[in-house]
Amino acid sequence: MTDPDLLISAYLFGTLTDEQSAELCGWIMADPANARTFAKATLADRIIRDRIMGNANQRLEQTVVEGEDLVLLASDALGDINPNVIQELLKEAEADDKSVSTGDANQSEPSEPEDKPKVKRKSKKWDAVLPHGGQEHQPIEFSASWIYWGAAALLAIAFFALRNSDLPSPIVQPRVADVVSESVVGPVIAKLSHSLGVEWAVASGSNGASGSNGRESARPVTSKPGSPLRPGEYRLVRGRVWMAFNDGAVVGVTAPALFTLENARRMRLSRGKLVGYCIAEARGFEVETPCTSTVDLGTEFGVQVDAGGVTEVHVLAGKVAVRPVSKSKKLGGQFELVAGHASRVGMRGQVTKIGLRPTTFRNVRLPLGRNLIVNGDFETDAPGEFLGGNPARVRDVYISGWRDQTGATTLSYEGPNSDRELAIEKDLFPEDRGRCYFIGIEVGTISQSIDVSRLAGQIDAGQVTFDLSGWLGGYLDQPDALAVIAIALDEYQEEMKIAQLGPVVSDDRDGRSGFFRRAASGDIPRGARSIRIELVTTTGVDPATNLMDSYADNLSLNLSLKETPAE
Amino acid sequence: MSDQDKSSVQELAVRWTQAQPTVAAFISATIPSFHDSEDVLQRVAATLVTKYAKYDPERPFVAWALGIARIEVLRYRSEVGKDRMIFDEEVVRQIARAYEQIIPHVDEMREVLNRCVKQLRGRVKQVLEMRYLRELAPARIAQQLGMTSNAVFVALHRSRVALRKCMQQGLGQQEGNG
Repeated sequence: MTDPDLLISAYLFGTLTDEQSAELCGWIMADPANARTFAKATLADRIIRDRIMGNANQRLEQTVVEGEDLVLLASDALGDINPNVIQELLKEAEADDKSVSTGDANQSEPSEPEDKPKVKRKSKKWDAVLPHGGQEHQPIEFSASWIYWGAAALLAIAFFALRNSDLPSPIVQPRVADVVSESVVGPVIAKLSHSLGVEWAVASGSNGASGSNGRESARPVTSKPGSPLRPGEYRLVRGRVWMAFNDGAVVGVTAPALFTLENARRMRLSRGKLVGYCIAEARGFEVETPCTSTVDLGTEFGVQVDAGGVTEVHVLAGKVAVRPVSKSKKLGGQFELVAGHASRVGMRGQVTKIGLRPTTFRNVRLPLGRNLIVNGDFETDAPGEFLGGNPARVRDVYISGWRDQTGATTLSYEGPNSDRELAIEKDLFPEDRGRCYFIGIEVGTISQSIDVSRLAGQIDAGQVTFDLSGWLGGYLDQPDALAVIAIALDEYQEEMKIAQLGPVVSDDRDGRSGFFRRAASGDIPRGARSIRIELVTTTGVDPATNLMDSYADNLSLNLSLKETPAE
Repeated sequence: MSDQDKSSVQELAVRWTQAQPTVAAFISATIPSFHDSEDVLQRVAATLVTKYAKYDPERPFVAWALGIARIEVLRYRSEVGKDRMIFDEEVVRQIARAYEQIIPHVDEMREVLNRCVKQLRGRVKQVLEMRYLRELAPARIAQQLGMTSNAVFVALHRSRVALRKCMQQGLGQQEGNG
């Protein structure tokens, strides 16, 4: 068997063959101690990766103290080491290469499982990289990457929740507002719509000097929405940006990414991933990668390019035309991909069908063209149960996606609660009702917040509209009522009610038990950064059962871009 | 929002900050693609927020978060198909159990390894940076440095072994000092 330590290295460095994969799996499963060795090795690898990424940035590091304060930690001075040792290591490696195969354990340094006692090392040169005996007292350090993700992501969620009093979707707020100087070379072809935690690589030879590949160097931008973007190469080190092109396409890019803006209808993604959203006017928007040219045909699509240039195209809505390209030559064989499908294209133009993975692009997807209400159909959780009795009792369940601190719950349309469920007249069931519906048990509100800040630029231009709809109802002639309210909040959490559905009272239902569809639409007000959806049960507890019978199902909020931006 | 809710959110933030490196490492260990592993990490964070009301404080938070991460990794596996995953479901479970067992050592490992990494110099540092910072495959690193792929692999492997030894010695000294 191949040395497990070499297998782990091959796994970590992406050179594992199929045969070695099977060996590694077998070894991990053979003994829990092996699994622990693998766990320690992969944990160490992550620590090293994060540390190196942190060192590269040499930024102020932030950490959290008791969840309240951000404390700035200065980077420590580097320790001592003899650089000759490292050079010799590389020479050894190169010399060994003449006879070493990555899969041949005999030619590489013997490995030492972490759990075993240390044995004599092959070379004492490694002593030079050992720490200084642990005699210095050093505080526990947090790598920049961990701090960024751990503190920024979760505290942003917490921060947002504190401000909104709602459980939000997870939003990463910017850790540092990176603002760099702006170049004024070239025409403005797009504007920055929104950014989160952005850090751009400092362009070599900015202000007109050539960057990589002989292209114009990166055009630095400010992080402010509306900042102009000009043709050039951009290197995004951290964070996410959303850009609105003059011809109507909106593109979100997540770091790490290298991309080039060419004109208002075309960009090139050399590495990283993006999501493009194109309204009808923007059809024909083109995304080039090292091995594909993808032309939008009215859609939402994701493109991911790995370090080797291999490209995946995922169509989330509508369709695109994909043409494999090799060294800037179009290979022919253009094909169309429609919603729900994805393909991978290799550097030699080979095309492979793959499964659609919309979650891969979750970080940069735009809140457009799909239902933004999480669990609006109340199908996520197993339903509660009507237990009968007087006063009536219902087994309450937590409703995922909603801030639910009331007695509200979900019930099944086809549960054992026959005397109640059968009273809902079948012609008054919601369309596509699924299994479960919402029922208000007591006066109260459940809510959720939807982040729309990725569309800040379009919202502030008055370009975003909404469609809110849902099925609301109640039981016989009982007076219970329920309304769905949509409230827009700006960055200061100032609220503006933008729509209300319902209530659908007994008179609206002619005293029948069931659901009626209600809908509203309009413009998202300028300045809005989130939308809170509230389900409010307001009046009329049934005195006989002490149970509210206000129902809701299939709630939906969709945002769209206007074809022509407002003035 | 009540004071109790605020306290709960703060508590979650603190716990996640402590648990996140371990959870991230577990996800990275089971999902080779860095992009995809970061996606799954975000999904775990989102799930933790929505499920936090059900968290039992008597149980270690890291273990609870690892349990959710395991579910999300398996969900990812079912989404992307088996061909994109090296490990099958049983192996993922075995690795998750192993991660739970090494939780007590994580802080020490991190502290010592961070010191070790800071002492790297020269081309080894360069090779590691090309691998981790620029996410280049060994073949691309070899191309850029004028080396062979095998030489780069061996250099990376030996760097890993050396850092591990550095860590082992550091941990031993910490224990000795302790």
